[in-house]
This record gives sequence, structure tokens and C-alpha cells, in this order.
Amino acid sequence: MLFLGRLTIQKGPEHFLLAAKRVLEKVPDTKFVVAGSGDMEYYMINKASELGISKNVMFTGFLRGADIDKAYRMADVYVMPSISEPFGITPLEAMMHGTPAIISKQSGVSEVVNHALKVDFWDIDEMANKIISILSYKGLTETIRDNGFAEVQKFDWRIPARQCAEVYNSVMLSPEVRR
Amino acid sequence: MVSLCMYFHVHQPWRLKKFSVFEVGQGHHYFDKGKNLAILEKIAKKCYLPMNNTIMSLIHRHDFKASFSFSGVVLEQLEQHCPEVIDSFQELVKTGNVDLVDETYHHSLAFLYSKDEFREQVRMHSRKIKELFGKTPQIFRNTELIYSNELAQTVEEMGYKGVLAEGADHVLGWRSPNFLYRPKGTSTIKLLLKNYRLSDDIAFRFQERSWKEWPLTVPKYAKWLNEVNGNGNTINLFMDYETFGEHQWSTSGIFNFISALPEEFLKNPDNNFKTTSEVVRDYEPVAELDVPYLVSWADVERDVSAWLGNPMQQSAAAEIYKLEKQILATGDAQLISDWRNLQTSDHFYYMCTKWFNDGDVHKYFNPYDTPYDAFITFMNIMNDLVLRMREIQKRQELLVRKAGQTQLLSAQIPIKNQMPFGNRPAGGPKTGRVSKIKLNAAGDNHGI
Repeated sequence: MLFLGRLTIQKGPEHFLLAAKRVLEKVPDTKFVVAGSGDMEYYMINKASELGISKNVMFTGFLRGADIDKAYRMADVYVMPSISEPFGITPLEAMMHGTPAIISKQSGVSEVVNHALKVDFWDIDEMANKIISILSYKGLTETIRDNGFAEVQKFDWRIPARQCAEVYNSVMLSPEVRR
Repeated sequence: MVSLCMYFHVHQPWRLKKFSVFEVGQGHHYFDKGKNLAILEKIAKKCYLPMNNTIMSLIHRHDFKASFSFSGVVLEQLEQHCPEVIDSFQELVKTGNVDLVDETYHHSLAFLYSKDEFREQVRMHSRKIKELFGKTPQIFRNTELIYSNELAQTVEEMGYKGVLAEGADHVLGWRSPNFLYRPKGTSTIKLLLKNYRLSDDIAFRFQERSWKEWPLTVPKYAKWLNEVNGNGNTINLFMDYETFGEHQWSTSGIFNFISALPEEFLKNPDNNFKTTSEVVRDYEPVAELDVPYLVSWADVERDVSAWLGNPMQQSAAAEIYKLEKQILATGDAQLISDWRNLQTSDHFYYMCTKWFNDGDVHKYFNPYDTPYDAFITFMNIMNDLVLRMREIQKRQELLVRKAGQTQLLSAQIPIKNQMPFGNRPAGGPKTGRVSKIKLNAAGDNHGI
């Protein structure tokens, strides 16, 4: 199980730990990886031990480059429990690596992606339900992985870049501006 | 001479309630009764009751005829919550102008997984129809018109005289759906094929404003029907009954359309209405039709990919049918009934991801946000079912062990004290054992 992002309140890292606690009740040998750094780092480490799940939670600190790819590839599920997330590009990166994503319904990306599991960030039980389902049901993992991989191909930086350039061009070339 | 054969399918599933992995082993209530009955009431008011009235009046005015099949699952729901709809269907059947068609009780895919289970569900359906309507259907339609040579062969063996299927292009080739055919490998059963163009004009396109034929008027449609005259025996219009008032809203004019159609159609004295049984009685097959692969009436593909197209659907269906022997062996009526209600094809339909890419919700009355939610709920419930099954098996094993111990004990006690019903008459069984504890049909745990 992978969390990857800044450890700050708006990314909802605490919800990841609370869900982990519930998952471990049903699937005791699950491992949870928290990748990233931030003002909540020590809080998170303490929280894990307070919940009694330290043994199953690993903190990697800040990752970069190839380590990020490796983390995505190793994970069975990527979880993005953000409280506030204008877009949220990490689920797309996970899907690109063939890793199913569970994302907060409160994120922008949840409006444009179909093949990810979506939960309200505060619904810890539902988050755990979906994590356990991915761990338990092979059919689900296969379907969402294949469809997600296909879906994510439609996202391409060049498209918004071109659209942005078009906006600039249309403004610059408009008669009002030229005058 | 051309006959119009209108067949309507009536079905609503027992939709599942949301069931989390944390409820596994605690829940046991799988079906969202409140939601199901609310949906049913709405459909009864918008479709079943007004359409039944329309048909009744058409029968009186024009000797109109229609054929119906009901899933056992919808009949149960109607009996429990909308008995006036059952009464209304019974009135229609009493006129003699309405034919009834058999299918699987649970609207299931059993034919694809277990012939035994399939036959049992068909028998259950036949009994239910007899009980409610006093008739024994002669015609069969499989769930979602899923059909192949093998299906025709199986239901011919079961005694059916006719079977319905989709008149799909890849099955028919250059042939016409407006004749009867003889399924390959059968000798008596007749095959009725859906004229999908004319059926879907009503069922799917009627209120579609972007359709070039919109608005579909009665004279225009009657003209299309008349074009078949001289080049076919029967026009088979097969559709969901919910077409009227639900899929096509009453504001689209669908009720007026269907009310006016018979009069216009009968203006040509060569035309008439026939039920499915009458078509089978009156017309002979013109040729053999070979359908080695499964066809259905769903989606553009007309295959089974709507229910079994992705790994979620395939694994869910395979798992549920894998339980067959063990579930039936428990003899537990409630467990068996829950297992069968989980077989309803709609549960698998909701898991379909074919069109989900376009953000399209696959089916009317789909209770889930996504196909993934549908799958997770289904699998959690199935796991709960398996736990219940294991509990029952354990109790039964314990009972058998206890019975064994009692027998062992009884061998050491004088026989006369052992007679369960006092002294047996001379010549009765000499063994004198206590009669074995038997598990009753419901698997009750007597003696624990």
C-alpha cells in the first residue's frame, strides 16, 4: 500500500494510517509505505506507533527520480486520501505504472478519471474496504489495472500546453490587442 | 399474410445493498428491500399498470394479442409489494389473448455454467407461472435472449415447442428474421427471431430526436410493417416491457403510439396478431439455422460481453457457480435462495466496463456509481454467503458425529428401552437402533 506526497494536512496522510489500521484487522500481513516529507512527518511516525501499527508502516522520507518509479511499481495499491487537491497528478503516475489507485472524491482528478476507486476522504471504513478488495479480488485488480492503463494514455502535457499557447495566440492576434 | 407477434419481457432484479468487507460474517441481509420496492412501485405506476390497461383495451377493440415472460424474481417482488399488478396481469391472461413464455426463475446465466442448475431454475419458473396464472408455457426464452444451438437442443429435450432468439445479422446473414427456423441439431422445436430493426425503432429510438425518422408516426411505422407482407410470415417485436413509460417516457407519446398502431396495422386485411404459441402452431420453419456461438439481444455486439466481458465479471460468475454442489448439499432453503438471487444477470451487468470510458452508465436503475463498486459489493456478499455455508456445514457435521455417538452408545443399552415410539409390532425392524437423526430440508440444527 503506497502513500506518496507531502506530509501535510491537505494531503490527508493521517487518513492513510487510520485506513491502514482497519485493513490490518482483516489482512494482517499488509505493508504500508509512506513516501514523502513535510511538517507532519514526526506526527505521522508517532501516530503509527500510537495506533499500534508501526511494524507494518515504513517511512521512506523524500523520494526522487527512479525511486519514485520503483515505489509505484512495487505497490499493489496507490492511495491518495487528499482533503483538498485542485488536481492531483500522482494517481495518473500510479496508473501509468499499472498500479490501481484509490483516490479522494474531493480531488480534481477524480472528475476526469473513471478507472480508479473513489472514496470520500473522511470515510475510513470505505477506504479500507476498497484497499482490502484490491488485495483480495484478482479480477478487480486486473480489470482496473488494464482499463486504468489504457485510460491514462489520454493525458498528455502537450495537449494543455498547446491549448494554453492557443489562448495566448488568440489574445495576441486579436484586433483589440494589435491596436 | 403477415402476423405481428409482440413479446414483452418483465424483469426487475433484487438489487444488492452496499456491503462492506467489515460486514462479512455479520450481515446476511443482502438485498436492498427499500430501494427495490421503491423502484418497483415507480415502474408499476409509470409502466405496468397503464400499459396493462392499454393492452386490455386493445384486446377488446382489435383482438390484439401479446406474449409475456416474467422473471420469478420480479413476480416475487410484485406479489409482496404491488399485488394489484399481479391481478392486472392475471386479468390479461384470462382474456385468452395473452401467451406466457418460460425463462429461468432467477433471470440467471445458469445455462452457461450448469445445465442442472439451469433446468432446475426453469422448472421453478414453470411452477411459479402455473401457480399464478394456471398456465404451462410451451415457449422458452433464455435470459437476455442468450441463445445457441445447444440451448435449443436443451429446451427441446425439456419439452418446449418454441424458443426465442435475437435475429442478429451475424447469425442470419442474408436470411430474414420474419420466418421460423429449425435450430441445428433439433427435430421439433421452432425458432422465433427478433426483428431487431423494427423492435428497436420502438424500444430504443422512439423518443430519440436525433434519429432521422423522429417523430415516429403510426402510419409511417405501419407502412414499414406492411413492407414485410409477402416476404415473411411473422414480425417478431421483442422488447422490455419497461419500454413503455420508463425507457420511453409517456410524454414521448409512446402510449398513444401503441394504442393507435393495431387499428392502422389491421387496415390491411392480410394482417393479424398472433401470440408466440400461435406463431409456432401456425407456421413451419423455412430452413435450418446454425448458431454455434452464443448470441444475445444486448448492446451492439449481441454477445455475452455485457455480463462476462471483463475479468471481474468472469471471476464473479465463475465463483458463484463453483459453489453449486456445496450450497445445494446443505439443503438450507434460505442459503440456496440467496445463492440463486445472486445469480441474477443484472449483478454482472452492473460490473460492465465496456462503455464506462465514455462515462456512460450501462443500465437503467443501476444502483452503483461505478462497475468497481458493483463488483466489490457482490464479492463481499458472496464471501459472507460462503461463511454462512461453512457454518451450516460445520453444524451438520457435528450432528452427524453426534448421531454416530448415539448409535455407538445405543449398542450397549438393552434394545427394548430404545424404541422411539414405544414397542414395535412383532416383525418390525430387529436392529433396534435409534432411528438416525435426519437433517430436515432447512438444515435445522435439531439436537444441538
